[in-house]
Amino acid sequence: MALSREDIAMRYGQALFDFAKEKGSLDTVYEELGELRLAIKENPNFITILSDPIVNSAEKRNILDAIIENFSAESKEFLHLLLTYNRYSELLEIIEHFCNLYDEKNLIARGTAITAVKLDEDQLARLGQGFAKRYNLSSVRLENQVDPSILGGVILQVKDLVIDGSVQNRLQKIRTQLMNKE
Amino acid sequence: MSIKAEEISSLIKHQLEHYDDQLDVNEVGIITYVGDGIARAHGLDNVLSNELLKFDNGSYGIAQNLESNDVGIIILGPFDNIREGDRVQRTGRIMEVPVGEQMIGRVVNPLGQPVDGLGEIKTDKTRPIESQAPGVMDRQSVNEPLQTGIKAIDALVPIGRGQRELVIGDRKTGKTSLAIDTILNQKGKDVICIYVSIGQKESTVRTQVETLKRFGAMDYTIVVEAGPSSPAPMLYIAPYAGTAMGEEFMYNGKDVLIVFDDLSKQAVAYRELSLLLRRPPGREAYPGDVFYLHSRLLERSAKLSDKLGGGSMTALPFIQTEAGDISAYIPTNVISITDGQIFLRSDLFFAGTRPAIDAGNSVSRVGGSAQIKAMKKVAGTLRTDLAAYRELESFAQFGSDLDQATQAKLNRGRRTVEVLKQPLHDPIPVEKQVLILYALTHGYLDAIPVEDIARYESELYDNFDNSHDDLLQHIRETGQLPDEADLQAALKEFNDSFSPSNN
Repeated sequence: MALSREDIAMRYGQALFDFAKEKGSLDTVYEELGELRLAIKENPNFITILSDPIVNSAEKRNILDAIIENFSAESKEFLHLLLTYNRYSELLEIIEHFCNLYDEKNLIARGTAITAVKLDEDQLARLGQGFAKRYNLSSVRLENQVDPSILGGVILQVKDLVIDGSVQNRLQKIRTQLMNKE
Repeated sequence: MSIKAEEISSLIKHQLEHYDDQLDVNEVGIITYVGDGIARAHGLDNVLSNELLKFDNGSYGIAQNLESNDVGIIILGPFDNIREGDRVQRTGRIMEVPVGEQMIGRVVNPLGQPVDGLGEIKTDKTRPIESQAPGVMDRQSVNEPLQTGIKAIDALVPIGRGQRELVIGDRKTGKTSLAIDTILNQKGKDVICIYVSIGQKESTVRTQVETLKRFGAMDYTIVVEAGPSSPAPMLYIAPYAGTAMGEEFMYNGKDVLIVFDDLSKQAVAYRELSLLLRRPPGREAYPGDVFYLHSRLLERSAKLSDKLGGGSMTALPFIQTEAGDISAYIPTNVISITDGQIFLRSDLFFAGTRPAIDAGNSVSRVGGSAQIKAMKKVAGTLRTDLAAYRELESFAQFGSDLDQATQAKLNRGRRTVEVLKQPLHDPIPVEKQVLILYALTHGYLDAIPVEDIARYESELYDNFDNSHDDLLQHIRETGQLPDEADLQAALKEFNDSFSPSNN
């Protein structure tokens, strides 16, 4: 049976993590891949070209080399390996898995904060700190998402955990309570 | 009339007094796959096996497969508006159904919600659908009969309270009618009946419910219904839900009869789920734990010890066979779990022997101790007589020169088969069964033409009801045969007055 994308991502992600740890360059690789991911999000063509079976591998290699010229040796080696084994279509998942492993090791978590009005950086950071303190994490990086329909308060979603402190949810709870009393 | 604003606000205040303003902390997963009645979700790292989960659309699900990076979930309820990327939430509870007295007389789905249009069921008690069966010390041996009112069963394969007796046979051999008749016969016997219909045609179920209503049997019956159009998870949990409803009564010292109609359809539903959940298929593509599926269900039917109130749950699981093959996978499994089986054969059924019970292949492993003394006495030789008859019958077809003894055996056998026939929805009380079997085994029927036996039987009952009620009452109350001289005199008197039809 063919491996699922998830299985592939897990194997390569784990391998990269162990390799970078051994070389002592976890932080560099993490940063570089983070940048690469942002870049890919803006230019999705990158993956299309590198996983295109029609483009020959020497050409792919030239393109890749041009892009990752300034990367560390470890990152370069890994990205070349992916090219050899033709795993570019799973690149994003692999990076995702690697980042998860890194976050786990450093007790970092990423998540979203849904609010009715936009939060500024400072508020977001404080929210993250509060969450980190409660769940024994060293830091929490939050992204802000604006959704006016929750009326007020905030919904925090970090990994599997959803903390719903929105006004809309509270109103909903009051409504069920009033309806049940009858 | 005017309502004051203060009044309203004080009312609202009162209502909201107990409103607890706590943050909702939920663990959620993201759905990655939705199939026929099942879903897979990513995340939910701390979910427990069999935990109840809640989907965004309000449906509930049960966590079944816990794997390294996802969870397999069966969905109980509508799943057509669940999408990939939706969230699914832990509830920290396990699946429960409402139970209690209020359920009696209702038709419900496997979640315990009414489907009979008679309004909400007001009950505040629930029980988990999966629970541990009573242990060794919590049980006692079966010692009390459960009268089915069907002569062939009560005489040949008696069922005791707390027994699990499998009813097995091809389609259209009268399995369901057997169950309905057994339920009808529990009237006034303080037994609560639960009829779990799994994958039966809705029209059939409707007919059965109407029959139960017509005979006043819905006053002590709960019908749990999972139709063929319900998703597989509903069919899968239906027998567990029915058992949970029965356990409530059993643990309160009552006697319960539960009928699973039928478990082969449940096994098929479970196979469907298991394959969709990507569990490895085994023989006939059933998953490896299909045996456990039925054994854990049937173990929950028991006769409890007196310390626990002495309640009981008698189970009549049904299995449908293909072309009378009782050695297929699911039939052999369930035969090995139950305390005996009643085998119905289509050739007997079409030959007019109804109920079409195959006496040779039907057994009851504990029933002997659950027969009243009088019945034991009259039915003792019935099984061997019948077996001998069946053997001779095939011989007798070849020649006509038979000796006296053989003639007599054939003669008796034909009458035995005739006596064991019984029309639909006409359960016979045990004392009358004893009476007719006594007449049979003591030769009072030997001179009656075979075609007159049905009439003989009903006239005999009427005669005894009118003029010898004391004898019937004696059997009913003591369970013993009355003074044989009296009984024989009464039978002889009736025999003399009985006039065979001459045609």
